Amino acid sequence: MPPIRTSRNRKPPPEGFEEIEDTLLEFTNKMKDAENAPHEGKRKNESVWEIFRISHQRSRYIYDLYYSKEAISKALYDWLLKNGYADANLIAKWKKQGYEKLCCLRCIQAKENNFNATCICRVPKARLSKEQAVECISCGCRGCASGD
Amino acid sequence: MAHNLPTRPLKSTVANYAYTSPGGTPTPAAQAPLPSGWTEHRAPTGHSYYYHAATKTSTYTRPVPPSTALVPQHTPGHTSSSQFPFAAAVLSGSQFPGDPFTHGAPTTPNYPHYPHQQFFQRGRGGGRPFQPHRPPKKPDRPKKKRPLPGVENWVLVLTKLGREFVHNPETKESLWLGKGKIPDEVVKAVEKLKSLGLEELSKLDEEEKRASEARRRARRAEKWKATAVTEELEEKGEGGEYGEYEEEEGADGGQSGGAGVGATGEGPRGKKRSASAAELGEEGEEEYEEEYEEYEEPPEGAPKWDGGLPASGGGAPAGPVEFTEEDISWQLEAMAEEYGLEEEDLQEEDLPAEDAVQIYREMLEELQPNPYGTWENTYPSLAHDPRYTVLNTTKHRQEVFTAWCKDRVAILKEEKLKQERKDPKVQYWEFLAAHIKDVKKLYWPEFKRKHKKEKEMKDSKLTDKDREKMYREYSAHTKLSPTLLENELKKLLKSNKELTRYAKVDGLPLTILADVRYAAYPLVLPGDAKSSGLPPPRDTVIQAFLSTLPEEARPLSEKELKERQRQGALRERERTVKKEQGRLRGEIERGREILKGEEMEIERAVKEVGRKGLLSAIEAEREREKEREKLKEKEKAES
Repeated sequence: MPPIRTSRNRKPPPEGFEEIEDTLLEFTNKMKDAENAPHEGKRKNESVWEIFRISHQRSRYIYDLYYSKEAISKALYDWLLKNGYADANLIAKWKKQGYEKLCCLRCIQAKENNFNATCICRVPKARLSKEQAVECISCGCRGCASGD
Repeated sequence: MAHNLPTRPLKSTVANYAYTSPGGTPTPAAQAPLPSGWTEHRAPTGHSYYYHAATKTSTYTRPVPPSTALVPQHTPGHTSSSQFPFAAAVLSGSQFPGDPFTHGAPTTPNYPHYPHQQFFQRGRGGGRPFQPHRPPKKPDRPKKKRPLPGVENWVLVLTKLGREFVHNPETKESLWLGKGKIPDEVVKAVEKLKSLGLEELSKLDEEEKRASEARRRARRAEKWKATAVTEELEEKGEGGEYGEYEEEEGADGGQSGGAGVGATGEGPRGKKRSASAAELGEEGEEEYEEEYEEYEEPPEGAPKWDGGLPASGGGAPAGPVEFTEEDISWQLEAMAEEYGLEEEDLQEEDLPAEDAVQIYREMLEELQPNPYGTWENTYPSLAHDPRYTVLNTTKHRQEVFTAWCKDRVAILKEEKLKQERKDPKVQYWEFLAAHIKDVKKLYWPEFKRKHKKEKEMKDSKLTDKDREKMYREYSAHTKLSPTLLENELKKLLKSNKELTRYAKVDGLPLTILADVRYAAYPLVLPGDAKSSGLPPPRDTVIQAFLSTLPEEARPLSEKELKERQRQGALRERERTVKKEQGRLRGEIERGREILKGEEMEIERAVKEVGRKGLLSAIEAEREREKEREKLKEKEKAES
């Protein structure tokens, strides 16, 4: 049986965690709110959009901290990924050209769709007609093509 | 008013002829009568416009019978007239006899060749097809204003294209220089001004600048405030969006200047209108819009051509009123006019990019948002600042914010490195000492619950177990008698090997500082030690102990330390070298012995084998064996 880790015997997080702790706590609270929010009047898909959104924002926050602001150390970044504060697979996609703004991994899963195409939110704004308001089914994204 | 309002007719601080103030439309008596089919209406902004029911055309400019409409090819390219050559010509004929647009120079060499004017002329000849997507040229605008010395109320205005005219703000009269009936004293003043040297001119400019600076600052602050508020509202609406979509927030005065330039600039606006027309569900109108976009020429003399985009609705002026961007910007313009704003004030959006970024960063420096925070959390606090809008798009603002965060974090990191980190244990002792009353009377769980919000209680460097242990130690020490405390402290000092006679009381090693015997020693002031049965102050105890330490344990200076280190290293090196040498020597010896043994073996072998070769040696061996066997047999037989 693996040892149970509680706040009493946990190894402390790497240096620099204190600075971002508050923001992460905010995200955690938002996530809890979203999880407990009522789903009445929402479509089946719609109920999880908020969860996707917060998860995306938190991943983006950590990604920005490490790559563009260079505010956290490699050790802390790895620790955050390991502890589920950010989605490592999503971040891996952001590093690829053409996927810089990707909303979620489900939206590039072409095989899950009827015509084996990616999600509508991956289509650049220029390719869509002007009036078409996009809200993708899987995560409620309104467009995450890199060119927009 | 079911039909859309026409575009704002003009944008000029100099020759705002038709609308001096929102309510101040010229009296109909001063104007020529409307041609048949035209009706006059009033817009919600207060100015009147004209509507032709048959052609479904609406315009701000007062239409005139076709006979006078043939003049406009000779209008000069000044702001208002360039946008509305037709209207300017018409109005100048009836209303402003002294206007530069009538008497002005139609064929000055730098006269701008506006696309719409070509269109105008071509339309009359019914020529080539029109190319709709030519970049719109900016109309000429007043650039610099200089009061004329000696003459009240007249100013010399220099336009962007380098032309000059004189302007009287009171009577709103403007006259091109060198043309028309300029009063003599004004001409003289202009000559006088021009004869001044460069230095004097610059001096004059500076004086004027200083005077207008204060005025402008006040206005700017107001304006920023206003825009900041509206933008905040916009952004809040936008905040819920998932991706990063940018909306150009450029509906300010700066844009509208270029928007009215003739037919070329009308593409997007035409579409917008057509959308609104579609909402109304009137098919005929859509047809009309299409026609308009193709720039088909109206019938000869029909006053359809007014630079704006007249779209029309049912007919009777009733129904929902549409407030378009043009209306709003027109009103802003009118307000600016009332306040006496200069052209420069309205152009402040044209800041060079680096300056804007600089200003924005200054704002960030001042407000000091959390560089570790998210943009979504940060910008509401920034949006109140008037400088927030120096950058036009939220995307750009975010980019600059991120760059600033990067720099700021780098600075913070450096500062942190310079700052010595306190040991978490020492920090915790200090915390306990600060809450000594609680420590004396509370159990650990109570204490923990009471102070769980404190930073020291959440410090991840120490585990909860450590904290509990330290707490118990500390509280146990507070119950000790003074003499015992003193003895404990002395014991601690004695056990420490690092201490020397020259150590300082405030520079003790960490092993002592982190020990409970040092940390839990009660804080006593030098005066009240003997009187109240308290132990002597900690510092005096330590000092006394230090003075008892032997003399030779003097702390080494850095140089000596280095020297000692060097010698130590040298000795070490010698030792290793010697060892190595010994090992090598041993190896050589061993090698030699092995070699000797081999040589001897070979010698022996050579002796035995002889010169006849190996075979003879083997035969000799066999013979010897046979002889030995024979000898054995003989012995057996004998026995």
